Amino acid sequence: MSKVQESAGPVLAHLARLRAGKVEVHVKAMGSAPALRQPRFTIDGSKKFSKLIVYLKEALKLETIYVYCNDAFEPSPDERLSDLQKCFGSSGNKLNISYSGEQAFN
Amino acid sequence: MATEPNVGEAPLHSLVEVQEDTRQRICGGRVLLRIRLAPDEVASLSEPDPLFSLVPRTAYLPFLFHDVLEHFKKSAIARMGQPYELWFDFNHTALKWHFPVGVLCDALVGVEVPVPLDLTVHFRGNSVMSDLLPFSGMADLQRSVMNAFKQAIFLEVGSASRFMRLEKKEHMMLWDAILQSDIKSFSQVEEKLMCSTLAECKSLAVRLHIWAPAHDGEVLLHKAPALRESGAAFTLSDFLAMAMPPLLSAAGDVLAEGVEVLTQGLILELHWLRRISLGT
Repeated sequence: MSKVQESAGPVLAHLARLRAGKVEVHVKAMGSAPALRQPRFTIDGSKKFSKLIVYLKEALKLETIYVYCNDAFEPSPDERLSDLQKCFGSSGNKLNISYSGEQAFN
Repeated sequence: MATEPNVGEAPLHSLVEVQEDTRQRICGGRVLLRIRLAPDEVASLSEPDPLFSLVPRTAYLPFLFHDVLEHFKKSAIARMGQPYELWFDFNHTALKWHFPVGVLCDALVGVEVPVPLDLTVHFRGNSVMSDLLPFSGMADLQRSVMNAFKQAIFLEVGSASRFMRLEKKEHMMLWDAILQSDIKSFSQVEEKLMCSTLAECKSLAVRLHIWAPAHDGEVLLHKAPALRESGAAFTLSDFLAMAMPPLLSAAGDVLAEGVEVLTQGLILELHWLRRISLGT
């Protein structure tokens, strides 16, 4: 939507500031998916959602995983965790995440 | 528009639709593409003819995959049983399949779109491109588009339950409308999902695609209130002041030098209010 023709420096610096800090992720298993030993943890807000998907896959040893935000939708893997937390997070820096081995919430 | 006293209560379509087909005229633009096969993937003796395609700005690149495959298959290096991994680039920038063509065009090309616009297609290597999401078929696109749409509904209404309550035939109508770039059918389903007035909207979903030379595109997802506290419409200028002040001048009243803001191929004025719809 936007086109910046010169000196992107201040814009990129502002983006970095917006996304600085940690996001507190609260994770919940759905259906027959295994539970995570530590369902609350923090991740760098500048990281992409794909980072969380990969982490959950590895920690749970699942080949296929569907990861949802607010029990409603799957964020795109290239979305930033901080952007998601600011749009969809609840009190504090909390982001509510649920996952399943099968597709849910259609 | 921003000064209308009852802007919050007015039905949304009355804010946008001056004439019956205004939305069609705003969103119905097309781009003429001239697609060539990447030179290092040509197996035939001579370079194959380019493929011309007039695509709606609301279309997604995977809509072209079938035609591209049929056109270039004979000239491309054989995959020996491996599936093709189609992806496009514009001036060596890989194009993300999960954004509409018009959004890619606004962000990468700007307001002066050449006719035709030259793209290069690659038949392999999608999976090694770190900035592209993996693509294994149209189901991936449908999942991505519908989830982006659900996100926007969630921000507007505060939950996605309206979407989940849609009947199966309405789901199919919505996806068909997106596949056909049929704005009228799309609006019919959309009406059931979105708020009917700005006052009802909890917030609007805005995706800001930021492009600058010598830099990979950044995308910021940011919510915006629909109205100012005074009840007047929240403007683009209000949004940029809140989300991305470096795009405005020091005084905050005009765009910083060299900055252009586009949507649907149009340059936006700072006082404009626009109902922000899927993917833009």
